[in-house]
Amino acid sequence: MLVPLLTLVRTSLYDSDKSFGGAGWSLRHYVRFLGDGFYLSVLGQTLLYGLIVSVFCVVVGFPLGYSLARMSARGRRWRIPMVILPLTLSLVVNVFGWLIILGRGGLVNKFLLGLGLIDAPVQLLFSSFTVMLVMAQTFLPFMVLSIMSVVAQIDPALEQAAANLRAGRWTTLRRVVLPLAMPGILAGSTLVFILTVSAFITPRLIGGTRVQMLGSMIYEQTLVTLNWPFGGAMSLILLAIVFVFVAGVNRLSRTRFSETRS
Amino acid sequence: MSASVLSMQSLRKEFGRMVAVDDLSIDVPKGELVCLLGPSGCGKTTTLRMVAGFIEPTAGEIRIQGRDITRLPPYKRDTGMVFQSYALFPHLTVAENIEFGLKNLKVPAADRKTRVQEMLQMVELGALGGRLPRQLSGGQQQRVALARALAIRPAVLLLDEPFSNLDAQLRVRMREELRGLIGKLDTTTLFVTHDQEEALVLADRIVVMNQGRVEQVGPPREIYDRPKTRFVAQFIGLCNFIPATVAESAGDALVLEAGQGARLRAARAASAPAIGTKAMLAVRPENIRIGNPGPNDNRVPGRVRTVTYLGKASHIRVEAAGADLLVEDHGMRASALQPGAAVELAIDPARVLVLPGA
Repeated sequence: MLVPLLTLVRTSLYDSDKSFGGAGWSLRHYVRFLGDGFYLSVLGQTLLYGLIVSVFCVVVGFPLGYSLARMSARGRRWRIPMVILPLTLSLVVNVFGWLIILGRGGLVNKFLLGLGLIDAPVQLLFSSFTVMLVMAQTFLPFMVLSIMSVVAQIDPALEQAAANLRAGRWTTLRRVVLPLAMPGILAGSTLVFILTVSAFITPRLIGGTRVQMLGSMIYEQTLVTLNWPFGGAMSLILLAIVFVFVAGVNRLSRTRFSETRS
Repeated sequence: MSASVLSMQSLRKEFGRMVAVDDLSIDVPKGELVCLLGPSGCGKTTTLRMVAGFIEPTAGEIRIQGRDITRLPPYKRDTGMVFQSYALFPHLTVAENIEFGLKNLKVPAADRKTRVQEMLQMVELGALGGRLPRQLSGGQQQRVALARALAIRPAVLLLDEPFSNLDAQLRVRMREELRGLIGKLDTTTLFVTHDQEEALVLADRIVVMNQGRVEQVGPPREIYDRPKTRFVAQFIGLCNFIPATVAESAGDALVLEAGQGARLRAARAASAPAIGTKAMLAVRPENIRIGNPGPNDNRVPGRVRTVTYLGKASHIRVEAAGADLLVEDHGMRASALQPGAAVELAIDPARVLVLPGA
């Protein structure tokens, strides 16, 4: 694990824009990235997408994970594979599936045309909303599974105790279930956030050139422009930010929710 | 008697084709502690959970202080429950656990604090309000659960086998504490247990349940001394059963013929079986003496099978009246007995119960 990482660090410090045989060392690739409003805005956008997709996955994933955890073993038997199935597909296959559904002649457009809601096919692809939607769909299983495993550890008697102590469903959720499920929510969010900010296939294929995310930009720098030093610098900046984020979340779950772990 | 605080009428619960509770009716007046007693699967916990609102009855009606709560959600019922597992909120401190229900009842913050302190004092955990539940011992957790349930001043306190997770000595102590506490607060209480001793010690009235049905309802003494069915006699305390046939009626006594030519007199019960019918005699081991009969006692010859020394008493198995009888002896006589020895048993007719059936 360490060797590729160290190579990356070394490459990112090359002085030239060439990937090989350059001479001299400098931080100019880092300076270039951090000094340029365009790159910074892409970074900001990437992180923002990461947050939005995480939040979306929590909102959709919590009810799913919760109900799965509270379900009988029989009910779970065929529902769990349904949650896991998307993970067994290659990401590329998944994305191509979406391309077919959302394309100009795709399922959604045909349906809307058929209903007479629209007169001409709508551009569904190449928007940031669609990119986030597809990423959320792709990464949702991680959220569902991590919330489910934590909720399964919560004694159902606690919810009954809350109800007995005059807490309505909403109060029980807010004051008992959510605090106790928080480690799972945070773990799931961390996973989804990391997967989102480092994604490059989905933004490129669904978002095209209109949606810029750091992952696809790094991909271009390394494979199209062949500017490895700059790509490496971008990767390391992203890595550092993700690292700080994960450490922050870890700290939060350790200090604030440590009591729920025993 | 004033109107009952808790009233269950013809309560019934089916799980699929299984009938968990069958036509159960109990009225509990203010301040009474009623104990649902029975083996596991007898429907006692199902009944408690129907009162709490966690299980919806198939049929019947539950009222608390006259209000029909049968179809209300748990949080709209005036009950406070102590769970078998205590179900303390692990992420909240002891004080926050006790305060939980008060917050939901919208009690003002200042009153909440005093009430929490009162409760902590009451269960003698004054200094531990800031601890988390997992930092407490089992007995302390149990007290927190009780304080939390009582803090909201429920009309009915529900206890679901609250002592089953404690060791034997602690169980006896907590039992006495609970008795003192509930007596002081005059809280109407429904208590579920499978431990007959617990029921005898705590309850004002015991409801013995078996297979979803009520076998007998009555004060502990009556349940113990005058069991109405073989199940009740067997489930509470130890009991000998002697199959017999009703032979004649002599004044206020009934004479029955048992095995080995033994004739036993029994005090006539209210519903005495007819002459010639088969009956089952029930006698507690402590009501049979070896030798030394009183003038009115039944005298039954027998032969000693085994002698078991238990410290404060001895258990002697005697073959007599066509049955294998257990005799509990508190004197020193037992130590002299040898298996095979011929003895004469003395049984007070007032202590012989005639149960229907063979």
